[in-house]
Amino acid sequence: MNTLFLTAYPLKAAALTLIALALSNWAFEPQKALIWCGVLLAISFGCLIGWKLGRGDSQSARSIRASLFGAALILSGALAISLGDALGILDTIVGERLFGVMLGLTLVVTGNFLPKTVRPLTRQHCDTARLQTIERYAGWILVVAGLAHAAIWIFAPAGSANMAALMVVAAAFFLIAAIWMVMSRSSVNPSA
Amino acid sequence: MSIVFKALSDPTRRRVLELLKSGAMSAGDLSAHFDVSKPTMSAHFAVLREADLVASEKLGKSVMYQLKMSVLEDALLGFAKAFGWQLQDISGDASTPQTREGDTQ
Repeated sequence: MNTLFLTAYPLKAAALTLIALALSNWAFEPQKALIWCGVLLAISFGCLIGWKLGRGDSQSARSIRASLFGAALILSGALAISLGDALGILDTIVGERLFGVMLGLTLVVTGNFLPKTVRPLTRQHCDTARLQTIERYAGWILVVAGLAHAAIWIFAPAGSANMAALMVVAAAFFLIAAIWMVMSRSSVNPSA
Repeated sequence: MSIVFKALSDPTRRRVLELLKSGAMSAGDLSAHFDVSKPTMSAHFAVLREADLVASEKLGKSVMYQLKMSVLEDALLGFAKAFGWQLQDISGDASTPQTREGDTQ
């Protein structure tokens, strides 16, 4: 994943795709001009961050480029679904389901990489073992919740999918908060 | 991804990752858990670093290691442990450092 962002080309391509999708949406649904203006502003803000902080070959610049690319991917998916809906290619409920699956997969990716974010030991001012254990648990919970979210939007009846998916995500965040509170009061189990 | 599989295929490296689950440890403390030579352990650490499964940092005179595994890599480690993945062919492979006579892996 890191080698993909040795250059800024993937990010530039993503930004151009996003702009094209936002303008197409604007052309087909001019009554929502305010929304598309907001989207274009967000894209401009992302480009500005990429231009200011994502230049160079340092690890942090590559990491910023990768994060911006991930955000662009999510926004592209949402804009593509919206465009498909406006063009009549996608049924509204199919669009909703696709967006639900995409959100679930975003949770999976976020959860997967959460335990991989390592801070230098010299900059950590808390119990590193405890923090690492909490991050590992949180990562696993987010991955499982994301998979469940995606599965619900694929298989559950349209009427109940939204509520069920919402409950899964809420339960996941509640569980993470509970683990964080319990572990910040007790000692870490090394075999966890 | 193949580099991760290669790193997880060795029982010593899997044990190192298990030890690091309890928190950051120095290279010396980790080595104390194994009956292998220092160069062998260094080679194991190098493979783990190359696979981006651990992060190393110099603190004073010692090198500290921290776990740096994604959920997927954690799951792969679990599978590797459960099914005992091992490399079959060793000769000349940098992923399986040469051990002293009597070393345990």
